Amino acid sequence: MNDEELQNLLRDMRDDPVPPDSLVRMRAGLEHRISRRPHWKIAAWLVSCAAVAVLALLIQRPTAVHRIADRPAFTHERQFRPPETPRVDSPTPVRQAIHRTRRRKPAEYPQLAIRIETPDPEVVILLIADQPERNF
Amino acid sequence: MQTAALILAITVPGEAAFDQIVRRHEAQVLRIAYRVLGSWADAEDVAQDVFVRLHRHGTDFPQDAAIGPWLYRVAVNLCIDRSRRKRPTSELREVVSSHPSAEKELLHSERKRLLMLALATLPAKERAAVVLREIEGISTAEVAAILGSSEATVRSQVSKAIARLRTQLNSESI
Repeated sequence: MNDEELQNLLRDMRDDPVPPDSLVRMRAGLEHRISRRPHWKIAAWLVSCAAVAVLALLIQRPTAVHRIADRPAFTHERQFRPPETPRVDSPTPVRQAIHRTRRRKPAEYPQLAIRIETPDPEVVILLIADQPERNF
Repeated sequence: MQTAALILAITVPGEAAFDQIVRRHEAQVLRIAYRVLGSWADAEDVAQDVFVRLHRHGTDFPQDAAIGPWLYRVAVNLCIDRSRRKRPTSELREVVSSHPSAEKELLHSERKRLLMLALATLPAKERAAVVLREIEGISTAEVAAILGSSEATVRSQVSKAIARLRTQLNSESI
């Protein structure tokens, strides 16, 4: 077989028909695969919506209706106890107060001075007291 | 039911355009895949993958003429990937003709069958180049674009492939 014959043979293959059953199988498979995708998308969309709704319900505070429904029926025999006073424990022990006496500062008093004049004008007796307790 | 249909219509835009493209190119995509893979069953799988990708990609192409090369490129890449994963095999189709003077036709069919077997022995890229240029009649420039290589490379691959095919067919001379 020379090049020309080979190329003619190759060119001849161009017009070979596709088996009809292959085309039918390919179309059917394609149809199935493509139509399956939107269903999957719809399912995913619905699941995500449901998840959001459940999340919203969980986040929402329980309503009065729920509480009434959950509470047991009221009975007259039921005894009411006064609520116990909660014991309060201080988280940290209190340290005793330390009383310290401060040294009192000595009070400041004004100096006391007594001036006694004598008949002699040049002699003057001056008495000065710096603390009142002392007696002169 | 109406809502589901509406959602389907919204999520799958351009369904009519997609159907048109499939009808126009399905035979050629199937043929290319068959020539490269050597099996109609594998070719059907590849053609499905090609059109599923087109469906995902959408039918908005800058030019209508760009759709064909895009489809062939995807098909050839999928075929090359598939033929790398498993050894290429060729279906041995039984040649039966009911025509009374079918001797010549039988000989021709047998040559085609041997050519398909010889094609299956070529490296994947060479096989794709021969199938696209010599069998499908696509220009060298387009084949280069489809295979992602230069025109010179395509020419070299085709000439090497033809030499190998000729040697192989002559060794089995019918």
